[in-house]
This record gives sequence, C-alpha cells and structure tokens, in this order.
Amino acid sequence: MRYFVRRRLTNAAATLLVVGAIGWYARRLELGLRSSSFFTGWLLLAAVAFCALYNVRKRLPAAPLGSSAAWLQAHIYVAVGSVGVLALHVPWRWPNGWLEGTLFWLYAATIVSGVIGLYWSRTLPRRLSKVSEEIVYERIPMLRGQLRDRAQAAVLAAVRTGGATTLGEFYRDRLHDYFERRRGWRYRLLPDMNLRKQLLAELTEATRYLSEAERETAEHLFALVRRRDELDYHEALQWRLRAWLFVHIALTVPLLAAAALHAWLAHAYWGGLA
Amino acid sequence: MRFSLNARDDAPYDRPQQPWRCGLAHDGPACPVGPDGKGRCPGAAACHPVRDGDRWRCNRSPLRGGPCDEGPSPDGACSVAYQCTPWRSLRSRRGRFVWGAVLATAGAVLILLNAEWRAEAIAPGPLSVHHAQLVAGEQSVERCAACHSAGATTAAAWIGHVTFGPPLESLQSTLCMECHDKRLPVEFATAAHTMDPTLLPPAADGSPRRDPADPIACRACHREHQGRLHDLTSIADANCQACHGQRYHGFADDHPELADWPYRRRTAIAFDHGAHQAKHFPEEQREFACTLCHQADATGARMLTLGYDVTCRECHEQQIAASTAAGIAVLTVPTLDVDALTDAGHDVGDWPQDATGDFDGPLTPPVKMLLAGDADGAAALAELGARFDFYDIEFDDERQLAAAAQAIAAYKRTLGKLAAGDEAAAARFPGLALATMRSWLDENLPDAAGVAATREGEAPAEPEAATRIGSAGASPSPPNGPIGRWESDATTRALKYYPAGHADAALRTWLDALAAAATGPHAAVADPLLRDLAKPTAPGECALCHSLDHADSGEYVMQWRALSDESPNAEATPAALTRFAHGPHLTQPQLEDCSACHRIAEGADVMTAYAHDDPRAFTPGFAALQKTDCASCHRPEAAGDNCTQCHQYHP
Repeated sequence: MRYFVRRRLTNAAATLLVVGAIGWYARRLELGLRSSSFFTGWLLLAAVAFCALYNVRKRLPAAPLGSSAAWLQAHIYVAVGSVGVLALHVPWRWPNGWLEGTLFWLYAATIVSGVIGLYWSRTLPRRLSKVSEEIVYERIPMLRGQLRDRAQAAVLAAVRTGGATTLGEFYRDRLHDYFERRRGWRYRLLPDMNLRKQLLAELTEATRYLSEAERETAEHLFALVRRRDELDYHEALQWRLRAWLFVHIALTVPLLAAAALHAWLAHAYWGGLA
Repeated sequence: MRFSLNARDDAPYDRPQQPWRCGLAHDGPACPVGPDGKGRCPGAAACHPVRDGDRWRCNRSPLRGGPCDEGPSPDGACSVAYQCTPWRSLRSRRGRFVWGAVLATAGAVLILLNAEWRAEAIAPGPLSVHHAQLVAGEQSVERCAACHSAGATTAAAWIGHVTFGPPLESLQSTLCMECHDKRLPVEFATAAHTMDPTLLPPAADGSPRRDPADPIACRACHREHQGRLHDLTSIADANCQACHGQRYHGFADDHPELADWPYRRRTAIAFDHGAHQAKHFPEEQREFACTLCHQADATGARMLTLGYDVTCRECHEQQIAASTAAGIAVLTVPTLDVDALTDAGHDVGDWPQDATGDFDGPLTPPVKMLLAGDADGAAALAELGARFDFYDIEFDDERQLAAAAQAIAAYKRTLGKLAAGDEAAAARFPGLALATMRSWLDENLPDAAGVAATREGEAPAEPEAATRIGSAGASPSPPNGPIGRWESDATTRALKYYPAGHADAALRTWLDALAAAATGPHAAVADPLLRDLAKPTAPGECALCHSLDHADSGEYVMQWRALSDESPNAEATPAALTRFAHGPHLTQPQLEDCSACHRIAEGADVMTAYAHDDPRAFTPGFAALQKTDCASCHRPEAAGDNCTQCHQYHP
C-alpha cells in the first residue's frame, strides 16, 4: 500500500474514532439530562483555534514545533473532525438565530474554502508540472517582460535585415498586445489554450507570405508565443493556489471572533443547573 | 523544426516572504538591491565605478550583465540608476487583508454588543409560539430578562459570569416558575417529576436510577429557541431513560407487566360488579351494560360514573327510605335515676317525672360531638366512653354518677345554647328551626333554656367552645343536599329527624364532621362514633355504598362520589404519572365493549374490603390487565410505544 494511501486511511480512521468517542460522551451527557452543548462547543472552538494556529506555525519556520507537513495533516483532519463535532453540537437543524446563523455560515465558508484549497493544492501542481519547467510565481512578470523584449528584438531584427515588413505588421496587429499585456480575469479563473491556438494558427497562415528570413523569425515567434502561454497558465494556476488562502485565512478571524462571542453569551445566558 | 527556448539561469534570488518587491520586476529584471523595509526605492546605481588611472571604469559584475555600454560619467558616477515604485508582495497584501478582516470583525462585535438590537441579534432563534406571545409586547431587554438573568445586565457584567464563574441570579428554572407556579409546585420545581422525592419509590426491579433529589433544570427537556412551531413538550424516550436506567427498547418486550394498574385502590362507591351482573340485575330482569352507568367525559380521557338518580335510585331508593322511616332520635331525654344522683350529691335540676327511674337511654352522636367541646361533657365522655348509654351506669358507682351528672349538665348547657340561637351549634342540625327546638325544650327540659352558658363560679366559656371539634376541621359546612324534617315525638320525648332520602344533608354533615374530628383532639370521642354511624346498617345506610377511607394524609374521608366531572384530578403522586385516555380507545371496534379490557373477576370477594378503612387493601372486582392487551396495538409500527404516550413527567 502506498504511503500516502496508508496515511490517509490511518488519519481518517483516527479522526472517525475521536469523533465517535466525542459523540458517545456527548450522548452520555444528554442521557444524563446534562447539556452536551458546552462540551461539544468548547471542543469545536478549540478545533478551530488549533487549525488557525497552523498559520502561526508557518510564520515560525525555525521554531521546534514539529514539521509543517505534520501540522498540515493535523490541520486537515482536525478540521474534518470538527465537522462531525459541529453535527453533534447543532442537532440537525439550520441555525435560525442571527449570530448563530452568521457563525454557522462563517464556519461553512471556511471549511468549504479549505476543502477547495486542499483540492487545488493536490491537483494544480500536477497540472503545472505537465507544462514546462518549474517557474517561480514572483518571477513571472520579469519573464514575461523578457519574452516581450525578445519577441520585439527578433521581429525588428528580421525587418532590419530582410527589409520585408509583413512579419512586422503581423506582430504589430496580432502579437504586440499578446506579449505586452497580462491576461484578463476570465483567463485567470478559467485558463484555456484558445488564444494560443488562434495566434499560432494565424501565424502559420501568415507564414506563406513571409520571406525566408522572416520565416526563420516566425519560427522563433512560435516558440515565444508558446512560452508566453505557458507563463500565463502558470500565473493563473499559481495565483489560484495563493488566492484561496486570502479567503480561508481571512474567514478564520471572524469565525473565531463569532465563536468566542457565542461561547461567551452561552455561558452568560446559561441558566444554572445541568 | 521549431527550436525551443532555453530558460535563463541568471534569474535573481527571490524572497517572496519580504513585504516589498522591486517595481522593476513588473517589467523585467529587478534591481539587485531592492526596496528597503518601508517600501522605499533606494535608487541604487548598477555599480560603483573604479578609478583606473585618470579614467573611471564600469565595475558591474558579469552576473548582472558585465560592464555597461555607457560607462561611468566623467565624475565617476554610474550612468545606470535603478529607479522604481516598489509594490507589496502577495504575502504582504494577504497580511493586510487579514488585518482588515480583524478590524472589521472587532468593529462588528463592538457594534453588536452596544446596539439597541443586541437582543435580537444574539437570540439563538425564534421562541415557540407559546412563549413568544407572552413577551411579544415587551422591550427586547425585558423579553430576554423574562427567562434569562443575563438579559437584564450589560455586556460588561457578563464578563464576571462566564466560564467558571457562578451563574447569574436567578436560576433559569426559578424564572420559569414565576409563570408556571400554578401548575407545578415551586418547592419541587427541579425535583424529579416535580414532586416530593420521598414519594418516588425505587425501581421495582432494582435497576439503576438517577437520584430523584438531584435537581433537573426545566430546559433539560424543554429546549427553547428552536423555532415558532417547535413542540416544547415533546419528550424523547431517551430523556426518560436518563433517570430510568433500564433501557426500554419497546413496550412489548421490555416494559414490565402492568401489575395492579389501574386498580390501585378500591372504588369510592362500594359496588360489586360481579354480583350485580350475575345476580342482582338478572333478578330484576334488567340488562347489565357498562354504558348504562359509565360514560366518557367531555375530553374522552376519563370514564365517569353517572349519578345516583340514573344508576341506583330505581332499585335502592325504597331500601334507603325504609331505613329511616321511623326517624332518627337526635335530641333525647334519657331516663335518669335522679334519686341516686341526689343521694350522691349531684343536682341535675328539673327532669321530667316520666323520665325518672333506672338509668336508660342514649345521647346521640351529634349531641356527643357537642358535649366533647364542653369541659363537663368532655370529662363525662372520658369517664363513660364515647359509646356510653345511661343504661350502662352503675347507680352505686360514685365516679359514674358524677360523670353522668356532668354529662347532663353539659347536655343542658348545650341545649341552652341551641335555644339561644348559637349558630355554630345549630349548624350541626341542618334544617332544625329555632322555634321547633325551643318548643321541644319547653316541653321536655324547660330549665335547660334558662341554664346559663357558664357553670357557677367559672369564667364565661369561649364563644367557640361548642365548636371546639371544629379545631380539627370539623366545623360543618353549609348543608349540601336535600334536608328532611324535624318532629317532636311526644311518646319518646325525642326530637326526631326524618331524612329526605338519598344524599340527605344532615346525615352527610354528621358523617363528615365525625370523619374530620376523628383525627383531631377529640378523636377518642369522634372515632368510635364515626365507626357506629358508618356502619352499613346505620340509619340511612350511607356506608352501604359510600366507603370511609383512611387517606394517606391520615385523615378520614367519606367518599360521597364516584368518579365524576367534579372529581379532582390525581394528586402529585407517582400514580399520577401514568395516564390513559379512554376516548381514542373506545373508537376501536374491538374495544367498544369495555369488558375487552375490564374483565369482571367472577367470585371475587369485593365487598369485604369495605369493612375497613384502608382503600388500598382490597380485592379488585376486575381481573388484572395484561400487558399483551395493550401491546397488540402499541407497537412502533402501529399505535406507537413511546414512553410519553402513557406516562407524563409532570403529575
């Protein structure tokens, strides 16, 4: 059995076991006419706080607090387990209070954003690895500028040496903006190869009107267009890998605040006796 | 063949963790220095030119492109300056975004805690309609405070009461009882079944059970804020099993047998169903049908017994009338041995000549009750006994003669009070007109009317002396029922009472007064008199059907009524935790006939149990109900078998 499969099975079983034990104890409390809400509620708040600590751990790479990978595993399975604890805490009904509703939807949004982020962090690197080599996200603007410069230099050189302007006009009309500008939000959210295919097709179509020297430059442009598209693809997917954290981490703050407020009010409004 | 593009290997070292990035990196290679910590561009030169003789030479590293084409200026300054507007790294922007979320959240919480609509915002859901309508008109703060002590306090005050601090006063269950005190006993509000824990017996099978003295909050079962239509009274079986440790998975399999339910005490009216069905009704050639005497009440919950007029009169009216046809001598003139009394030094005053001779004749129970409130009378009763008859007095026994004289003196004083219109004493004799009384007194004991209410040399008696029995609760209530007639019998010198038949007010008054007094200070007098009057053969034959119960409270109660509309609901006892509604059952074809469940126990000696006063020591007239009688329908897939279908938490 592969290591990762074994790890998932082990962690999932441990999570189920813990949630089952919590459920058993909560049920015991209820059967004793004692409210299990405080027990499950504090566990839930502790689980959320623990998950939030992962972000702190990442800021302290040198601290002897265990590996980040181990923290991530704990973060994931504690979060999954917290869903079970929530089901015990909120007995199968939609929260209909304003504060409770806000807290619930904050929790749901945080969990969903985490699940999406987990899915992306597991699948997007594999997709990126199929496209060229590893590219550092922060270098992409620089590499994009370099590509633009090289394309412009190649076209200018072709015009200067051959005297023909067909390739230069094609570059001006169809490729200049492609190399100059960043791709729009639509591409960032749903990257595709349509523009790349279209430009390469047009360049292929234009090749028959080019001189021999221009054809050689056009071949160079083919490579630059593909490279630019790869950069854009990398940028779109790597941006996605980073952008979900904006939502996930930012949601944690109101979630913790609302949960703490909820716990505070629950204790203040607790009427005494079990 | 198209050639590929080689990746450059001269890329700078990236530091994505740093908050600022060089603006030049947007469009090409970043400068080698980069922004400072505050995001300012240092405007650095590409190199520090070196002096080579009288000339300046570019010193740029080959790693950064080598010596530039322009070269240094004549004064030795680098001609390539890196100038940009630094921009924040993605990590820095995310940090600022998160801090923005922190500030927004803190602001929202502060607004929430100080807003007028705070109560609505923090309410965990709508109240059920029953509670919502009660607090609908109040301000939001008062609405919360009606059930939560925290509702009336400020957010700052909550701080001291969170987590491990004591709960805010008052407890929520206490607040519940501010409205529910009519239905539930406040002192046992949080006790198991809201009743005295000492009344709850241990589990019959010895199974573990929660200590009934452990308090249980109302909200342990009644969870509010679950929505307008939430049923607050809906209790799951698991809630019952919180205390009742033995697990009942189903009625048919796990519930104990019904044992003596519902026949836990004899019926108030002594009635032998078996004998009436097998003997009396056939003798009278009448149909014996349950519905002739029993009908469901308006709610269908209880089967009531119809009144005497409908059910009994036709057969028993003559019997009752015959038992009182000769009248009941209430005020009598016993025969006294005046000479013996005089010889012993006791002056009884005037006494009718024809009532003088050997001691003979009784004083009646109502009179003896009044004597018990008189000092002389009480002394005489103590000496002679409650059941004394003058026939029993030995003429040569000094003590008995003295007691007899005391009794006569007290008797005359009592009669004097009656003649004087003492209302408390007169209330013992419903329907007795003052004129009738005085006339009888003038004819028989004329000196009694003039007897002072006080003995010579003594302080006046307390006004309520004659009603001292009343201190034990014997003060008679107004007559309830028909009143017969009073007549003087010249032959026996007795003032007789002729009852009006069934439910006669005077007989009820005497029996109730004796029953109430039987546990009071004059119990020694009242108890034997009560036993005599409650015999089935006593005048009126009341006790032939109406049982005398010695209740759990210690009091004696004459059971005048069968289960009727006027009967109170069961008291707060464990027995009241079981309920049964006849209505829904009687609609079932197989249960239309009451005998489907209530099977008459033929030959059962029912009536013997009415010879004593313990209502729980009896032989039921019906065979015990079997669990299978219920379980045939009460299954999960049929009529249901939840605990609360037959049991209720609050009695």
